[in-house]
Amino acid sequence: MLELNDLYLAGISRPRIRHINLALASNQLVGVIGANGAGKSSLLRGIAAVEPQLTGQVQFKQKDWLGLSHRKRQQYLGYLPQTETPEWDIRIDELVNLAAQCARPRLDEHLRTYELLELKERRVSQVSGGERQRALLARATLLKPQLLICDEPVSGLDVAHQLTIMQQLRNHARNHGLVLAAIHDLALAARFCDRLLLMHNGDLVQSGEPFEVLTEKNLADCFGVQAEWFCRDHGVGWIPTPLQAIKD
Amino acid sequence: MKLSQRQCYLILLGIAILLSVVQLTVGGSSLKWWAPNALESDIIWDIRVPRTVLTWSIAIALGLAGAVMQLLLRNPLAEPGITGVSGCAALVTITCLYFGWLPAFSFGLPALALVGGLFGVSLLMVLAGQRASPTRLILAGVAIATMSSAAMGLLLYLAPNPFAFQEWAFWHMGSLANKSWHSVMLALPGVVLALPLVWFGRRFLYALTLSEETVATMGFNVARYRNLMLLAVALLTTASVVAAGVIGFVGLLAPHAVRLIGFNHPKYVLWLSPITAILLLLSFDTIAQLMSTARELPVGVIAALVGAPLLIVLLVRERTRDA
Repeated sequence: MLELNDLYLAGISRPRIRHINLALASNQLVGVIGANGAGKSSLLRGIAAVEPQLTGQVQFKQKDWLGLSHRKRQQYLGYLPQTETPEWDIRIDELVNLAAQCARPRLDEHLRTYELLELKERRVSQVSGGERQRALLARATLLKPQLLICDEPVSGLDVAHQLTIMQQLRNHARNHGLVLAAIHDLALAARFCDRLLLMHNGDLVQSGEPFEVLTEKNLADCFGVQAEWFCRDHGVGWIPTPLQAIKD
Repeated sequence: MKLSQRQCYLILLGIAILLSVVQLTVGGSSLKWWAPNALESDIIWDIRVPRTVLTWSIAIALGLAGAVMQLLLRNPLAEPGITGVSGCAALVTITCLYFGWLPAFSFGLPALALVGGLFGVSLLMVLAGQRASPTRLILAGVAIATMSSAAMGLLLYLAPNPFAFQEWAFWHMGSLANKSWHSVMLALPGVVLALPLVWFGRRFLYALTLSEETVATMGFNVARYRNLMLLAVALLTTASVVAAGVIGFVGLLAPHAVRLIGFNHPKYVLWLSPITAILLLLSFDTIAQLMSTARELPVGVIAALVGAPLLIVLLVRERTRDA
């Protein structure tokens, strides 16, 4: 569904992403993991076509993704950036429907899916950070995009909101297409993602299922931590636990 | 009771019509409106009515340009003057007058001012860069405005006519006095051309509630839409400058007034700002006419004198409401 060929993004002191080649199938929740500065956001921004310096090719459903017009690309793409603070204190339903012109019954149905129906008349300043993030995610998914890109969608949220958002991302992947999300919490990534992309210094180190990617060696090399694995077989999954930072 | 946008529009329009009637009747001489003689008829149709029509045109231009700038730059301090467009338009006008390059046809000077305004916008885009952040745009605009102001100062300092500086200062304050249909015809084309541009870009301006990065993924070519909106601001600002000089503060105050009386939504701010600007400018001009001085006070001075305290009152009211 999504193919990246030789993606490269120059930076000030070093490349932000280096010669990335990758093919991803539909209906997957793909987590992008890596330490700070590894290139997760740059990769996602590059795929979202908001990085003009990006070189290489992106094919989406056999289409030249970067060559599509903004309007055409919008038909397939939903995007939630790392930080988003609405400039205006508008109502939640207005925020979700911003520039989308969605009919009221369909909008209400979507708000119900994201548990925002009761909050729809509240203003952005009157809801919690988690509810606002859920509203922003609901905005990004309103038109049921086949490619949803979220940059750290659960950062700064409490555990309950993190689980809700991750579940909604997985539901979106199952029902509508491919979801790419940068995630810092490895436990959440291991539990919810079908596939992980491990980034380090702008390189794609490994791509695969969580248990293939979250190895002790990868965690030590890319995050600088030792990790111990706890296996829970009751549907929770693998939980990597950083024990201590490796001293040089 | 919550009012819809249409109801707000109708109420404000009603008040604007009432204020227009007041503005029409406060002139220096009392007139027999129902049975005017030839002189009175001339005063009504060649002085009073054009002044009111011009007030509406200028106010629409300033209010809309102010709202577009605040939405575009995501900055409540943005106003048309900050782009440097009015400065460039004024500089070209003064340069032409200084060197005696007066065009042969009556619309030549505003056309040249428009060229100045468009030059200002082009310079702004070049200085700010292809993917300029709002901060860069504001800084570039301030630099252009300062340079054009300095150039005007230099021209006037070197002017052989000792009264040039006084005339320029008076013009620079903005005035609606002694205007005719000719002034209306100078202002209208810019407003008429800009309105469809703003209508076309309205969804882009609403979408700028979110970051430019997100807006770029919502189907908008951000650079193209932004340039289009800057062009609209250039047309609106130039229209107002060539017809009535530089009337400051109205473009800043009108969107704030809409926002602070409770319509905190980009759609309301965009479309209620022009009509709020009409109310403000009609009031300011009426006050200017009522204040008895040897020479009528420039409306720009009244706008600052009355507008600044009004803005403070609105801010205090909002703070009290939020507390």
